[in-house]
Amino acid sequence: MTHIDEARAVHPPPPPPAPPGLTAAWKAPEGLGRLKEVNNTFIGALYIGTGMMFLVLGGVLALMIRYQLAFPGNTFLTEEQYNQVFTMHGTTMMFLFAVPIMEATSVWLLPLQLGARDLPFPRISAYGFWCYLFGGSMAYASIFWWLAPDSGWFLYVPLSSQYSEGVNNDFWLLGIGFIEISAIAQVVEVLVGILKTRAVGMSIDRLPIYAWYILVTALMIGFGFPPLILGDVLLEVERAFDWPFFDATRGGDPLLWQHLFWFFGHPEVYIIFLPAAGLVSTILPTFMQTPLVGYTWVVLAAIATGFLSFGLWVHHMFTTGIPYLSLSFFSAASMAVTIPTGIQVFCWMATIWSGRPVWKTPLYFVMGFLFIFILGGLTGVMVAAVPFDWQVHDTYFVVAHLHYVLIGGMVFPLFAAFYYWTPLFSGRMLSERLGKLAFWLMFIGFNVTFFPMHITGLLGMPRRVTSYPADFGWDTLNLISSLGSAVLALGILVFIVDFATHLRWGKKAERNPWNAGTLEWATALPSPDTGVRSVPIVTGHYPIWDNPHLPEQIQRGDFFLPDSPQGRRETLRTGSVDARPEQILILPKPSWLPLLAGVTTTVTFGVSIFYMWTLAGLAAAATLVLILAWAWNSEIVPEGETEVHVGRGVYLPYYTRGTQSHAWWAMVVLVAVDAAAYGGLLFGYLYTWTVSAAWPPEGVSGGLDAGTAGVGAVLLALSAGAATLAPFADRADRRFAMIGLFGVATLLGAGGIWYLLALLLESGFDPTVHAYTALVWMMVIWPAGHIALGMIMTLFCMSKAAAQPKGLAWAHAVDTTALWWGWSVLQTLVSLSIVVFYPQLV
Amino acid sequence: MAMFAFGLFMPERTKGIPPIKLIVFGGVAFPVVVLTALSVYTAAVGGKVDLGRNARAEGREPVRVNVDGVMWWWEVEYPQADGSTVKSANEIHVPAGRPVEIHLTTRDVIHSFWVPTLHGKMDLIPGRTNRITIQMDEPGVVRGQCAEFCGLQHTLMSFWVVAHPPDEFDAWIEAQRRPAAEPATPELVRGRDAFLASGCGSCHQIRGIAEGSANAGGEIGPDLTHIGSRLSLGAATLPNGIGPLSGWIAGSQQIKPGNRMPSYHHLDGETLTALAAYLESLK
Repeated sequence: MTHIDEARAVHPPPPPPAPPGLTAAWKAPEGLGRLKEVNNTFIGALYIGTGMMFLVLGGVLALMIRYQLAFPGNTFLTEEQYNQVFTMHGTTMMFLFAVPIMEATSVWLLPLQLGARDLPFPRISAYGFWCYLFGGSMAYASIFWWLAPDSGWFLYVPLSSQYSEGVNNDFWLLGIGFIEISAIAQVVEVLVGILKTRAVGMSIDRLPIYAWYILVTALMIGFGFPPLILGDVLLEVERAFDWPFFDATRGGDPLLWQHLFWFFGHPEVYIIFLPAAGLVSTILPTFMQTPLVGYTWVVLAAIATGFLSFGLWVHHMFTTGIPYLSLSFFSAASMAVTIPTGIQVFCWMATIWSGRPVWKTPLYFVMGFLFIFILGGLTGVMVAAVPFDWQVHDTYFVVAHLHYVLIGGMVFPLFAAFYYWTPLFSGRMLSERLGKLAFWLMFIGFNVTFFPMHITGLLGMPRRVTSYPADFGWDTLNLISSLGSAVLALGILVFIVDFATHLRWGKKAERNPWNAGTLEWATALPSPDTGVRSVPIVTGHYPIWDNPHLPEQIQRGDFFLPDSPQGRRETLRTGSVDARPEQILILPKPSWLPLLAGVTTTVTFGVSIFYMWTLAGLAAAATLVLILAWAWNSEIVPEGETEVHVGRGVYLPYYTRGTQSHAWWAMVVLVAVDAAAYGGLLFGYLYTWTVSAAWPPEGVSGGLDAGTAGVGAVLLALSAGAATLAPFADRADRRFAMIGLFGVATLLGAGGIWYLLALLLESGFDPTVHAYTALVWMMVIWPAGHIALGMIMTLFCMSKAAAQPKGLAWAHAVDTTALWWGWSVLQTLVSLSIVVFYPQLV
Repeated sequence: MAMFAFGLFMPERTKGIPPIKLIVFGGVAFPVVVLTALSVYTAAVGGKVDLGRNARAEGREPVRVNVDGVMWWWEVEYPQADGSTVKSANEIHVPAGRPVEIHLTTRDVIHSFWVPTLHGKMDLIPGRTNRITIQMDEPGVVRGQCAEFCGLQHTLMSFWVVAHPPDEFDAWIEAQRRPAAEPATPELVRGRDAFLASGCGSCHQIRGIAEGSANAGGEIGPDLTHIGSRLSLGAATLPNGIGPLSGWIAGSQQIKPGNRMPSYHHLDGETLTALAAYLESLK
C-alpha cells in the first residue's frame, strides 16, 4: 500500500477542541463589527465573492453585445451605448474580474496551503479589498447613467484624450488606476507571505507548486502594473491639466501610450493565466492520485514565462508601421513563449499518463481547460506570425483567440477550483450532478460561441462594430455565437444556483474529501477562524501523502504555536529559503481603519473624476491620517517576554529588525514596484526624445539652470546620507541621534524640494505647450513628490520615537523610512542627470 | 489532445513510458524545431509582402495616393506629376495591374486602413505617415473598412477601391481634375444657389462653383466637386442617388448620429430636391 492509499484509509477520532486563548484570539467580531475583520481567510472569501459579482456584471454586458450582434442591422443599442458596453465588458473582465479574483484566490488559499495562521499584512489585504470593492463598483456604476468609458478597454489616445470630452474616460483612468493600486497591495502581501510565513521545513524546493506560480505572478504584477499606473497618471494629467504627453500636435507621440499600455497588457495575460495554471497543477495530481510530474520543470517554465512575457508587448502593435525587422524580433519572442507553456502542458500530460483519473467535477473543468487552452495556444502561434496578424488583427479572429486563451486558460481552472476547494470554505460538497451539468453547458456554450468567431474574423468582420449589413455572409455565424453565449451563461447560472443551495442542503464534507496531498486539506472542515491548529513540520511536496497521520497531529496541537495564552494573533515567521522558524509574528487584530481608509481613498479618486480638487485633497489628507494612525499602532512588542517557547523545545523572539524582518522585505518590494513606475516615466522621456527631431524642441522658450539643479542635488544627496545613518543610530539605542539625523534629513529634503521647484519655475517652461516641457515637469515633480512623502514618514518616526508609546516599537518604521528616502533621492538624481546635467555636458 | 485521451482512457498503456522523455521530446524538442522553422518562414514571407519594394526592385514606380483618415470618412488625394493634386473622398481609384503606394495620415485619432481582399492592415497615426502598397490585378470594386476603433461611428467608416483598366485610369483622373459642371437646368441652378446660401461651402468644396466665393472652399468635409460620380455617400453608408442624397442632407444625424454634418431638416422639400439633384449632377 502506498502512502497515498494509506492517506485514504486514515479515519481519526475527532480532535480535541482548540485551547480557549487561541480561539478567542482569532474569533471574528459579531454583527456589523464583522466588517472590521482583517483575517485573510475572511477577506479572501469576500474578495472572491466580489470577483464573481463582477464576472456576472461583465457577463451581462457580454450578453448585451451578443444580442446586439445576433441579427444584422440590429438597433437594440445605439452606437454610443454599444461603445460603452464593449469597453466596459473588456474593462470589467480584465481589471475587475480576472486579475482580482486570481489575487483573491491566492489571498484566501495561501495561508492554509502554506501552514500559516495568516499572511503578514492582513490590514493591507483588507484595505486593498475595500479599495477594489468601492473603486470597482464606482467604475462599473458609470454605465447605469451611460457615462461609462467608451474608447475600448485599451483606451488608445488621442481618441481617449483630445477627442473624448465627457467624464467617461476619467471613470476608467481614476477608477481602474485606483484599483491597480490595490492589486499592488496584494503583491506586497503575497510575496512577503510566501517568503516569510511558511510551515516549518517547507523549504523553497518544497514550496507548493501553486505558491510558486503566485510568486512569479506577484513579481509580474509588480513590474507590469506600475508602468500602466504611470501611463494612467500621464493620460489623466493630459486630460485634466492639458499637459500634452501624447498629443502629436504638440510634440507628443500617441504610440507612447500603446507601449506603456501593452508593456503591462501582454504580461497581464500571463498574470491571469499563471495563477490558473497553478490551480491546475494543484488539482490535477489529486484527481490522478499521483504527484505532479516534473515539479522543477514546471517551476522553471513558470519563471521563464514570466520573463519572456515582458519581451513581446509589441505584438499588439504589428500594424502601427514599426519596421519589419523589429516586428520579426517580437514575433520570434512571441513564439518562444509557447515553449515554456508547452513544457507545462506536457508535464500535465505526463501526470495524466502516470496516474488513474478519478472522474469528479473539478477534473472535468481541468480537462475543459486543457482542450480550450491548447486551441487558443495554436491560434496564438498563428497571430504571432506578422503577415498573418496584419490580416486578422482587430477582427473577430483575435476576439476568438483571446477568449480561448482567457476563458479556457482562466475561467475553467477557476471553476475547477470552486468545485475543488468549496468544502474548505463551507464544509459542504457542491453537487456532482449540477457540477457536471454546469460543466457541459459551459463547455459546449463556450465553443459554440467562440469557435465560429474564428471564421467570422477570417471573413473580414472587424472588432467593435455596432452592426453589420445582412449581405456580408456574417449573419448566420453571429447568430450561432449569440445562441452559444446564452448556453454559456446558463452554465454559469447553474453553478450559482448550485453554490447558493449547497450552503443549506449540500452534503457535509468529510475531512480531505478528495484525498489530496497538500497542506490545506489537513484542516478541519470548514476551515476554522484559527486557520491551522498548530503550524506543522512538512517534509515534501505533498505533506499529507508523505505522512497520512499529519492532519491528526496538527489537530492535536503537536506542532508549533498550538496556543495563544495572551489571546494574541500570532504566526511563525520562517526563513525565506530553508523555512526554519525564526520569529513569532504578532498579527493585527480587527480594526475599522482599513475600511475607513478604503472609503476615504474612494472619495479621493471619485471626486477627482469630476475635477473637484479641494474635496479630493481633503479626502486624501483624511486617508493619510487614517494610515498614520494604523502605522502608529503597529510593531507591537510584548513587555517582559523576549524568547518564548513555541512548541517542541523551540524558543523564538517576538521581535527582529533589519533584513530578516517582514517589514524590510515589504519595503524592498514596494521600492521595486515604485522603481518600475519610475522606469515607465524614464522610458516615456527617453522614447519621446528619440522620436523627436530636436530636443529640447525648437520654439520652446526658457531653459533649465544647472546651478539651481546642482544645489538641489547636493542638498538631497546629503539628506540621503543623514537618513541612511538614522537606522544605525537607532539600532545602537541612540534614540535622540536617530531623531536628530531624520530631522536633518527632513530639513535638507525640504531645501532640496525648494530648489527643484525653483528650477521649474525659473525655467520659464509652460508644461502645456509641448510634450518636452510636460515631461520635464513630470520628471522633476514625480521624485519630488516621493521626497515629500518621505518627509511625512520621517516626521512620523521622529514623533513615535519621541513619544515612546507603551508596548510599541518604531524600528521597522525607521528602517523602511530610510530605504524609501534613499530610493526617492536616487530617483531625483537620475531625473536631474537626464533632464538637466547630461544635455548640458554634450 | 489525442495524447491526453490516451492517458485518460487507457491508463494501463501509458505506464511504461518515462515521463521525462515525454516532457523533453513533446514539450521542448518538438516546439523548438517547429517554431524555429515557422519564425524563419514568416520573416521571409513578411519581407515579400511589401509590394512597393518589390515593384521598385523591378524598376516599376508605384502610383502614389495619399489617404487622410478623418472621423469618420477618408480623404483621398492623387498627387500629379505637375505638383497639383486631385482631391476626392471615400474611394480609391487605381489602375489595374499596377502597384499603388498609399501614404496614410490622420487628421484626428488613430484609424486603420484595411482592404481585406488586398492586404493586411496599416494604422493611421497622428504625427506619422505610414505606407502600404496594394495592387488590384483585374478591374473591379472591393470594399475597405477602418479597422481600429475610432469612436462613435467607427462602424460606418468604410470605403471602396475601384480598379480601372490601365488605359482608362488617366482619363478618370483627367475627369476628376476638371472643375464642377455648370448647372444646366433652372432646377440645378436653384440647387447650386441653395448650396451657397445654406452655408454648405463652409465645410465642403466644389471646385469651379462661384469662383472666389468664400462660401465654397471649406475643407472640413469631403470635396464634392464630383460627388455625383461616387458609388456611395457618408463613407459607404448609403448608395448614391438623388433620393439618398436628399435623405442624407435632411437627416445625416439620424443616419449616422454624431457625424460632423448637421441635419438640414429645415430646408423645404423643393429646395432639398433641387440641392440633391444639383449634387447628383456633379459627375
